[in-house]
Amino acid sequence: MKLSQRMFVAACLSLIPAIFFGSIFCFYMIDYIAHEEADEFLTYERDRLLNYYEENKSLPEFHKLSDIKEVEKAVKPYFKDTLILEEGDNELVPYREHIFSIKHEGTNYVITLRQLLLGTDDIAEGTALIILALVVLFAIVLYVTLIFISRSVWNPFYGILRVLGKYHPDNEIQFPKSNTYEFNVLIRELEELIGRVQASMVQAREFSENVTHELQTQIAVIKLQLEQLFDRKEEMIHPEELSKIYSSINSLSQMQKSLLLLSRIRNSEYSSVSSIRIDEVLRHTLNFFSENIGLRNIQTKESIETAIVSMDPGLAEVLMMNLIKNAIKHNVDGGSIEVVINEDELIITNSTSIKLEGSNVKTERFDQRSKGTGIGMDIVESVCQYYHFGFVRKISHQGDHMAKVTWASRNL
Amino acid sequence: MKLLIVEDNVDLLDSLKSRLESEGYTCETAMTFQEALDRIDIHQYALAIVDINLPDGSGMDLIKYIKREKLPMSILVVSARNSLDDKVEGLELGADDYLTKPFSLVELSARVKAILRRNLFHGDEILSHENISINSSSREVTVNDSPVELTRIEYRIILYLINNKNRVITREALAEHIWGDHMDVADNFDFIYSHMRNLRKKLAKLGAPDTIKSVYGIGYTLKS
Repeated sequence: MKLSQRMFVAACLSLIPAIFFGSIFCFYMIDYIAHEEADEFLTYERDRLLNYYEENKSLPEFHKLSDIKEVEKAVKPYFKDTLILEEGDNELVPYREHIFSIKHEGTNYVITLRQLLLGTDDIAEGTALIILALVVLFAIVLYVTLIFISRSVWNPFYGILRVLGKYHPDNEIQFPKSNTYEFNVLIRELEELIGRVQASMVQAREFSENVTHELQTQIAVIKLQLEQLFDRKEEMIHPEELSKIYSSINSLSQMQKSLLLLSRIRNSEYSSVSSIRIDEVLRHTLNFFSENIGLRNIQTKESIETAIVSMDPGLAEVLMMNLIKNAIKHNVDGGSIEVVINEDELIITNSTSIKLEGSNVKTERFDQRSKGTGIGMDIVESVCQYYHFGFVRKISHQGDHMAKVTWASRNL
Repeated sequence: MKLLIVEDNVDLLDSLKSRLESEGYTCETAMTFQEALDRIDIHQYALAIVDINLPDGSGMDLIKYIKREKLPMSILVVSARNSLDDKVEGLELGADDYLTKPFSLVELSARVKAILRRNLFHGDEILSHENISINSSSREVTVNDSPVELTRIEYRIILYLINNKNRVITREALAEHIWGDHMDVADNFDFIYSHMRNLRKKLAKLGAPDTIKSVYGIGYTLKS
């Protein structure tokens, strides 16, 4: 949810208690005003009646809103509420009564003047309508105001978000200018943070490059020395042991290269993005390993449709090579590989000698139980994470390994 | 044929020099960028093997210099930086090939021969061993003038072996030559054994002597 929407919803939610207490207040205010008005009217009527009496010395005709009774003792004027049955509707209707005395020809009379009051349901209805109108008006004004604020006051903030969204360690970052103190603080802190991150990444990159250079050079020296020894086999002592050292040196070198690749992917060092026909990369990869597939009598089933994905061409090749290589390496002689690729996803299903209990087991265990280091699949996973592709691996109960890469969301 | 090896690691430099000299090349060496520049200015070389990381400069600048001065010299880049960018940059600058450390001597030797064959003989050299002949431009292999149907990998293996006659080629070097960074597909070398078995059968069927010898626990060698 956007910030402006969240603020709008929060403001509207905060209105709920205001609406509740405001409704009660409004109800009693209307009721109070109705009583005040009725009392004022009745007082005015009483004064008019008393004036009439003073001028004419006779009591006027009373209509149904008035009542006159003879009493022995005069009463002090007072107001009270009452309910009177409305005969037509057969309903009790609220009235305000003003009761006062007048002395006429030595007899005390109590006069009751009545004024129709607003019913509770009328006041409640009026209150609801007023509050509803106010809420609607407030919501419209608030919404318009928030849109205006988000487009003016919060504009630098959204500018900062846009810049951060496009951030890449290799590119210089330029935040928008702002006159708002808080945004300037945010920009300053972000610039400092990004500067530190970039410095760390440069250091890490330099470190890994230096380590690679030194390590691989020394490995090269060892390899070449061993190869020279192999060429003088007749003079060589412990050839098998030396061969094992040679193999280990090779594995070490491969491992270091794989780890470096993994590190470079995770450090976002691959920024060259272009539209790749990933189905063609897959075809090339299958062709590259075709002889390996043939030698193991692995049956392949292909369903290849055009698929275009935005990514680094080198990483596209790395992704495909590792997936297909994995499907061959962990397969069985006479096994199968099924490849499905389309504009949404890639699914590679292959038979494997590894049987796991239960179905759909998440397969970190796969690598642990089998040959190899499992770095290949870590690389695949890192590439998928880097481009926000979905990546799932499963082993079925029958021992079929399935790797699925979903890139549809990326292309939307 | 004179080669220049530019490498700052003395042990590596000695190994390269020793191997290439044993192949019949005359080798001169330089351990720094400046030393390499001095040599290039004075002498003519058929091929320069250039390390990217030099103590006083970059091998890339050396390639730029060679190309700017239009010196008739092939270039093979060797680098410990297994970076695609470096490889692309090196080849775009005009290098003929790129080799990542740690490479094997047989791989280096094969690449040097391939570059020289391509640049000096326009790729038309016929390689032969006993009654086996390889036309490297048409990729045709014959035994006693009869063509042999080889797969892509089998062709690469026999070419590699003939380029490194009488040398011990380790299984790892062979796997790396065929599958490059994806050599781990042949972790247990079953694929190498199978390809080699099929290659031997195809050659023997047409009367080629069995000169591909296994070196127990290490690899193979093609005996003259």
